[in-house]
Amino acid sequence: MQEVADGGIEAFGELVRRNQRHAWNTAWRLLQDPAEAEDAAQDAFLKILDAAPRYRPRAAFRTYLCRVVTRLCLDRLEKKKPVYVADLPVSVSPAPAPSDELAARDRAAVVRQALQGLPPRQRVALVLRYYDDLSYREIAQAMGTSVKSVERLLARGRDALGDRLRELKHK
Amino acid sequence: MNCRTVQSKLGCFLDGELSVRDQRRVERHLGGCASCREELERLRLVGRAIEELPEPPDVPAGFAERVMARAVKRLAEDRPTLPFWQSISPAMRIAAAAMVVLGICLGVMMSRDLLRGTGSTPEVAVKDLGTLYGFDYLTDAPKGSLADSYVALAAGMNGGGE
Repeated sequence: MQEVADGGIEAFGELVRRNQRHAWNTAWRLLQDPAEAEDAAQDAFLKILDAAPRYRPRAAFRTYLCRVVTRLCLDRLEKKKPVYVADLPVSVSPAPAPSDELAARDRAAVVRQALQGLPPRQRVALVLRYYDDLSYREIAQAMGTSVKSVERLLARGRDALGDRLRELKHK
Repeated sequence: MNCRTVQSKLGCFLDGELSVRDQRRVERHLGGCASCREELERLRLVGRAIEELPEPPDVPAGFAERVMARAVKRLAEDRPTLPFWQSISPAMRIAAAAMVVLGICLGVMMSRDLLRGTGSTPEVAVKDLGTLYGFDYLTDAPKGSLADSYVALAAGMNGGGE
């Protein structure tokens, strides 16, 4: 990052190549849309480039990147029209598959659908907790909120997700 | 701890975010409360369902190149247009400054020579400068000068003269 701050475009290229997977995964999990996820991940790297002269390493770079990606994804999610679970198409693959695999795919489709139906902040908190394995404090920093608020978001998110999974399974 | 308090802490309990003291109190309560254990299991299943989602697809091909192209473009756009003196090298700046100083010195020296050459006061010198640059064309031209010849020629052409 210091080399990037000193104006090294090559150092920035290296930083992008090393961390693209991480930025992409977080953006994709939060947005569930390849085009939007790519835009958000690209914007995150450009924001990091802009902020490089002011960057002071307080945490691991990955945590910082996660925070930038999360804020950009949250902005996008909050600007979007909410999608209600009932309106979502059931995206189960029509291709023949062994019964175990099909069951796993069905389950994944149901969970993804349920996650997408959650309010954006609850979804973001859950994704950061389960996939990025962040602590409550790190999630709070990434989302620009308090630890107490993260606790509430996770509790509500888990409850809502549990209820929705039950509903979708019984349909 | 009652069931309500315990259930409000189960998420933090699962995530290892409780203090050691609270962690122990919740564990003690769970040991003797089936409904709280059931609630804990429900939360575990939700977590497991999320974790079991398949990995995202691979990073789109050419992602890093597209980021770099945008970065290069952005850096070119953001580069401020520098004033002339900042856009040239330090050596050129020194040379330009030296030229300016030299020009001023030469100007001062020439004007002093001019004033000293006429041996007159500044007011007279201004008048002489006027003559020099041809503004004072109504005064008589000095005898034998080019201007005198021109005046004589012009007078002859007009049929007048001395």
